[in-house]
Amino acid sequence: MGTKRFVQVLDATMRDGCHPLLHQYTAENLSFLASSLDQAGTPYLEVSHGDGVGGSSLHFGKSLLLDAEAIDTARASARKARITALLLPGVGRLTDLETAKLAGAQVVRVATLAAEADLAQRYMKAAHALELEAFGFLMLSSAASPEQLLEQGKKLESYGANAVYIVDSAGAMTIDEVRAKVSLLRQHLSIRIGFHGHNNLGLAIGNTLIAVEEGADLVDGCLAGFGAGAGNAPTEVLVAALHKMGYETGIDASILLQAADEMLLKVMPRPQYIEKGALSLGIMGIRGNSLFTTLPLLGKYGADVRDLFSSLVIRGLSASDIERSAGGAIEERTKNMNPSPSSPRQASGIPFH
Amino acid sequence: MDEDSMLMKAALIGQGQLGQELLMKIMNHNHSFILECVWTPVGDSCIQGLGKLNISCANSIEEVLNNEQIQLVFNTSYTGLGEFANKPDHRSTRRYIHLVPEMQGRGDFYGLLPELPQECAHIQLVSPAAQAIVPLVAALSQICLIQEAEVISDIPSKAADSEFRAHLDEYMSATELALTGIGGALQAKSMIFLNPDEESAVNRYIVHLKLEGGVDPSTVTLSLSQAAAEISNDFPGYRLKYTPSYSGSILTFMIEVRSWSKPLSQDYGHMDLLTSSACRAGERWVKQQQERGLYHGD
Repeated sequence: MGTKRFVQVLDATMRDGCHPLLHQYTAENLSFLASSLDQAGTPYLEVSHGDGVGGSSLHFGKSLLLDAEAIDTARASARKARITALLLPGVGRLTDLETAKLAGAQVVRVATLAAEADLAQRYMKAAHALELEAFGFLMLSSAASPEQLLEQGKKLESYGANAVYIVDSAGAMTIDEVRAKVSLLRQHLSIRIGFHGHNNLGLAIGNTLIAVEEGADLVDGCLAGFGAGAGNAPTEVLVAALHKMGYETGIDASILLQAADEMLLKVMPRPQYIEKGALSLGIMGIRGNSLFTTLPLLGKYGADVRDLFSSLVIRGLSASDIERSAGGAIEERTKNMNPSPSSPRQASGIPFH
Repeated sequence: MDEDSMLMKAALIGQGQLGQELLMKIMNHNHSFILECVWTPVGDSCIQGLGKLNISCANSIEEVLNNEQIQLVFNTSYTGLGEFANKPDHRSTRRYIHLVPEMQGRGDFYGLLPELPQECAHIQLVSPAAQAIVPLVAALSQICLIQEAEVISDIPSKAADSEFRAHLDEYMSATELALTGIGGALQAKSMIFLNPDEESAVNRYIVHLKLEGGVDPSTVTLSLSQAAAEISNDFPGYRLKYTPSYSGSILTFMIEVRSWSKPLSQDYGHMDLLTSSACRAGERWVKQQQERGLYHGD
């Protein structure tokens, strides 16, 4: 195998894991995660509301801790790891970025839908002024062609991004697609290429390894795969696989394995698995911004997102039918509805960035 | 007073999508209050052939400010705002209607401030989201305490021009101020999502309101439907979509805005809402001036 490249791993458990926890991370859990991951030598740890700083809301769910408290807690428990915050323009603002910096964040990932990288420019500029490392994070990269992704990646590079991430938010990308997209960006960009996978098709690890083979050198995982929807590439598995393939990560895999084992006892309400709604989304993919608008709305209306999406797939509908079907589902549910309070229900099976 | 002396000379600042839509609306809608429009493209060159439409071009904002005949200024540009802030305006009877968020002046949301004081030179329309939702929140505030108000704007990407994209923070913050100010909510939050889906041209607002305990849901829903219906009467593209839903003390509903004015070049509901509100605000001011006998004519 010979000597292979050095690959850096970013662990997003403290951000993506907010989704299955309904944003209720305690300071105790964050301390446990940050200290274990830092001890193992994980270079980047992402900490934010699941939808990024400023995401705590009635719409997405309120965080137990303020973003600043969560970031500060993780920073206090990590000696070397760089604390990373996620920011979605339209959700988080420049003031949130400043707050994150004051609380101890050293890196920001500015997340836009894959076709909307220009929204990142203002926040990238502010990040540099605050002396933060700044990564562009192209969500729903599955909905963009390799050429479109390259165009957006070039924009991010011109804004001074230190890396551009291909983000498979819906877990809908397949191996060849990842290969084509990463390699095209690698050929034409000089900044680092990152990959963030979701496991809707069971390909989070496989896709990430292919991304690395094609030139990505910054890849994401979550301990025990703990993340939104079907979850993410399990960090401990990813690191072990990278090592076996001959890549260097600087991470002590045995500490990660121990921490991942404790996840079920300490953090996770249930083991991460690919339930029917998440799988359906992986098959169908998703476009537009319904991830942030229609899907949370469906939850508020008490519709079962898993049932809805699996039935769409079973009926063989295409991705473009999603908005119409979702609208129909709400219409159906409210047709004879008395405007009386019902018990809150949480949407589940929603994939996320 | 003859017919022409009733008309107002207006200026329009900015040539983004919003400026262009407003220009089309003012000129094609046969508005009774506009005689002539001076269009001030900020930064770029003028569009040809506007003379036929009674539109002349100014070269700078300074030129507009120094033109004594201009009594009404529609501002659709951030660049414009910066210049306004630095230049004192000597004409006390001139009114500015801002279609972009700006902190100075008074908010105007669907006539919630019918009688504006004469000395109030700056009228704020704040944002499409504020225009769409603040009247509803204000109506509900009359019957119950709103602890939190949240508005999520879902806007087609192609309907968001570069100025809008560069100022998301300002749009969100200004919308929140309007929700707590005139809307009366104790706390507010606003978010914006741009939808790159080519098929989508619909503008939607998802609204969550956390209400105080002990409120009768049917009373609230009735007030909400009435307030929305009132706006739909004047702005037919505006509607309350789906039955409002409760999840504990949180009321969720969705407002959909489709374009209804034919002259608009694009089918963007939120721009129609904002430019229609701007025309209403302008028209109302002209009427007010005439009633007070303050209108000087040319």
